[in-house]
Amino acid sequence: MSHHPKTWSLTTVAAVAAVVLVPAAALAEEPGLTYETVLTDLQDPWDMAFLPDGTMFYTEKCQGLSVMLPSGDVNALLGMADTDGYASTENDLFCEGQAGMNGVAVDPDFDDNRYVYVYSSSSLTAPGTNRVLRLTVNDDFSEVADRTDLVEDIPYKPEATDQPFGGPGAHNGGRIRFGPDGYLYVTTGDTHNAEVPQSPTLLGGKVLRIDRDGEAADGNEAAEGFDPRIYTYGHRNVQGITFHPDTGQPIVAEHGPWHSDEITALVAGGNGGWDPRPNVAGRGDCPDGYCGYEPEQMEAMEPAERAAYMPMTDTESFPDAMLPAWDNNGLSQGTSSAEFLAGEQWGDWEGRMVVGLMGIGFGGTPLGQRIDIIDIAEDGLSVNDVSEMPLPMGSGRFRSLVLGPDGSLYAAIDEGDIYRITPE
Amino acid sequence: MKFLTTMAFALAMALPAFAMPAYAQDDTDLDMEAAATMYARSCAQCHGRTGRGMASFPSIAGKDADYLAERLEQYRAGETVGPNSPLMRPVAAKLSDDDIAQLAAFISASFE
Repeated sequence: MSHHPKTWSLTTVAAVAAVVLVPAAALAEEPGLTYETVLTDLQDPWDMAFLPDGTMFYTEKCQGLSVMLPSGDVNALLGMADTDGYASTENDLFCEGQAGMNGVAVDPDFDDNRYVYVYSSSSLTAPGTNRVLRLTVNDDFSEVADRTDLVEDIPYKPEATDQPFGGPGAHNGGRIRFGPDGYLYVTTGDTHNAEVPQSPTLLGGKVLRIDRDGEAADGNEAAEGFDPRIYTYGHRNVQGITFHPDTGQPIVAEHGPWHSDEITALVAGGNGGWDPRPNVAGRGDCPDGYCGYEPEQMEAMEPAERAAYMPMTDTESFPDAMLPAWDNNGLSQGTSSAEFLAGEQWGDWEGRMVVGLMGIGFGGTPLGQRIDIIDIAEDGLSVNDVSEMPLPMGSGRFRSLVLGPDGSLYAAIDEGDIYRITPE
Repeated sequence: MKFLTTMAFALAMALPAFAMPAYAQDDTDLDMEAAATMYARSCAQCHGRTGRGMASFPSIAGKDADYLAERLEQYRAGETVGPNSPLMRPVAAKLSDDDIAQLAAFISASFE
């Protein structure tokens, strides 16, 4: 190749230099971030829910429900079995593996009815189920009372099976959120039980949509023979749900099976396309009757090869399945929580969805503990852009992301911290 | 992590020699600070900063060094020990004998 000397104008050189030297962040008007540790030394903090004045309810998986007041004081409200120091204790609430006290939500009309809701494993009926509890908070936030079990029969995995993460309590779902329609959405998991996700009556592997009394919401459009509380089915393990700020459409973040974490916009009556049953869709027998990690559940394998054999969304078997907007580039790293950023303080990130990833490094997949910023299309069927939030603090197992009333993003990590991330 | 490292190092130094795990005492010169770094890099993301476990990942606090070393050697050899073996085997595969001794000693001395 011959060398052709060029004479570049000063302007051209300056332009090239500018492109090379100016950081992308400066061009994109992304906010700088600071953080503060709001609470530390918690035991597996799982979820938070805010009142407009900054009052923060939060759950710890094996402890129970507490509240942090705007003053910073913390009141321990509802303890689980074998806990001390709570204003009251419910001895049937227990934890095991991924199961325990998971999601928390406050009623949109909290000022009038003082209702707060939690999702927890319970031993009231053998071999244990997950329940959605409604509680009434007293005036000074020192106690809860009037426990009402709105949903009593969400499956729980009671025994270990021959699967990765195969201990009891696996694939337990657990996020609860009120939508802009005023209904409570409840996300559940398949409990490593192959029959659960496509079952019309078992409530695992579903997104439920109920009113504040636990009754099926209007417009769920569950097919004939389905439990009317079911909004969508055919899910694997949904731990994140949020709502598009413009359309109100629910969007879930779901764990993938050694491949394909998914972000999916939901439609009433929709099928997520997850079906880990043996002897269907070209698969044979599987360990303990569950094909969810096959064809090679304990060894490294190309994620794309796995996806072809055991798809997260099986569009051949279910041509009308809801399609994911994003599949984490075909990897599984533990998507757990989703939220939309609101307010102009977020700059170019205003209106973007944030997704927390806990990190699972298996078979050559990078660990991937992070918060992603996702520009999801308005129709929920694709993404325009995905980038990684430059964290002001260290990473961790990002279990819950919630936008606070102060406009900051609150992040809970399994390690025991709740952070407040604030844009500048 | 700096605090944890310092704390763990101080804790290790405070322990009398006869209290050190037999495995570590016999087989290796302990470098607790290096072991703390290795723990933070290879273990903490699943077992937690203080070894108490998170989600599906079990607690390793309170385990003695011989137990921990034996498990790590089993995983390194490709054996299946429990449902999280597919996650442990590739981690252990990268560890030398000395790494295992250091990690086992660090974990047993630091996390009760």
